[in-house]
Amino acid sequence: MIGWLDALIQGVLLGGLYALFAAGLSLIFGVMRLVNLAHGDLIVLAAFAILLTARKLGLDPFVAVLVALPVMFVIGWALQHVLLNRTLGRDLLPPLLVTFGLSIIIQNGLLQIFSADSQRLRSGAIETASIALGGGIAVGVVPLLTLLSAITVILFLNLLFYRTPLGRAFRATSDDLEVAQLMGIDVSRIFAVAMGLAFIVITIAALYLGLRANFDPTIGPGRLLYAFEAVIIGGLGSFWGTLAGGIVLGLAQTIGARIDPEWQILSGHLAFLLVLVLRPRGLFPRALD
Amino acid sequence: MPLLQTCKLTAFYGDFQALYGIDTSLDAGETIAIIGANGAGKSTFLKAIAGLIQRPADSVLFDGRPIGSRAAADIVRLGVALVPEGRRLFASLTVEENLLIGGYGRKTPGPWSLDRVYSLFPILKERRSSATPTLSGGQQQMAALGRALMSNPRVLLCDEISLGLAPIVISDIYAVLPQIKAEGTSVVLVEQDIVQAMKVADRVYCFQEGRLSLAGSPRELTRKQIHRAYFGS
Repeated sequence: MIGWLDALIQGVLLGGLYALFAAGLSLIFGVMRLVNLAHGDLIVLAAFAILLTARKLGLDPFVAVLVALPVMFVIGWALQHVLLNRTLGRDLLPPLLVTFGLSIIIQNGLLQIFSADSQRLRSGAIETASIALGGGIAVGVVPLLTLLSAITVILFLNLLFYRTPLGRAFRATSDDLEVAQLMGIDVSRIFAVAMGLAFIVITIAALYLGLRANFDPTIGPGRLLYAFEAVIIGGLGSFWGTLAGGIVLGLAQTIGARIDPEWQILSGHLAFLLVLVLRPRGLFPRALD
Repeated sequence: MPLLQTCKLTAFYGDFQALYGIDTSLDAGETIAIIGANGAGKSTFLKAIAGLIQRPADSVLFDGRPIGSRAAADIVRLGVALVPEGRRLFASLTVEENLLIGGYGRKTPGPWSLDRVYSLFPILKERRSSATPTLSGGQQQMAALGRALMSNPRVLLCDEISLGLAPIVISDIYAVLPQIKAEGTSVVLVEQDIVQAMKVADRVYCFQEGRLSLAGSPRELTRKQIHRAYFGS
């Protein structure tokens, strides 16, 4: 019984990580209908950026991430401004092809620079610290911070989208690109800002990815898959849905692993397929499409 | 000098030419109406001014300066706002948010504010928190008009604001036109309803298959002239 309860708790915490993977994807898709196939590789890239900053400057990853955040915002902004804005139009294929190419470039670039060795972000005692909940159940501090960060990110994105003029411009642009321009909205700048914000979320996700487990240049596409599944399970266009989607995925994986460790990954995918069959539009789709 | 002028304005959709050298002018404080059959190029004409489609750089003059190479977002900042055909409100924004986003690019203060738009259309204040798809057609048109006014335009381009509305609603909407004009705004109306257009316009231009077929003041034009300009002979 305790074992199952533990699996549930760990599943929710793992879901926090998946929600962080997914939040950036959800943001980009929500604003500009861009499916970013390089999303997972960008998370890995950000993890290496934190690693490099931490090593070169001798900083703790939690401090290094603060240095990396503004840099990553600018990189995201520039990537959108210089490259991705040119791919957006009536046709869905160019952005898919370009981000797919970007994915390959990032993977191989990282391999070239950092080799295929597994890396990890080292933060001392906090990595293994845990809080005992009694009854033999304990939660790790890092997983707990992951979930809290995910909730904070989602909360922040919701406030931004629904309470600020910038968020209004994001939603208007997403609704109708042409009419948004008639409002004086420079959509290419709006897109660049959205990508910059997505890179901030990506970098936060990367911190916890690197603290929680080993990473190497090739794991990006796997993270992309989890991010996709979380977004689809939650329903397109809803940030809270994305959080819920991440948690559903995390729960399915830990419960699957509890039944048989070999089932961990598979049961996550099965849960995703099940949601697609039962609720094709996800758990919390936005009322209007 | 006219406030807004088009000189040999041409526009294309791919290989299809929609406008063949349109010359028009709009003086400050004036209202002009563009009439013509479906496919005559009326909406294209407004889109070309608003910057939504490519047009020759010097084919549109605003305040005497060419604005043909400016992007749509710049055009509205300069003071030319378009009420698009079919209203096209932002569906995921509330009525009030739709109005607020209309003032997004606004840099200078002007006569129009949320309160002014609400006093023009009190029903919008009542429904300020509603999702726009739940509004009636007339209310949606009021919101679209209010949204355009929020940018404090010097020129308001209206694309078929009477389309699909009941006659009583149409007259409600046209009833506010004098108040808009009283703020010094010049108006370009694209209108299917010729009677309505003739009533409010100082001058009328008739388009036929992408060309100007008639221009003049409503008092001088005869029914026969308009009929010929509209349908061809």
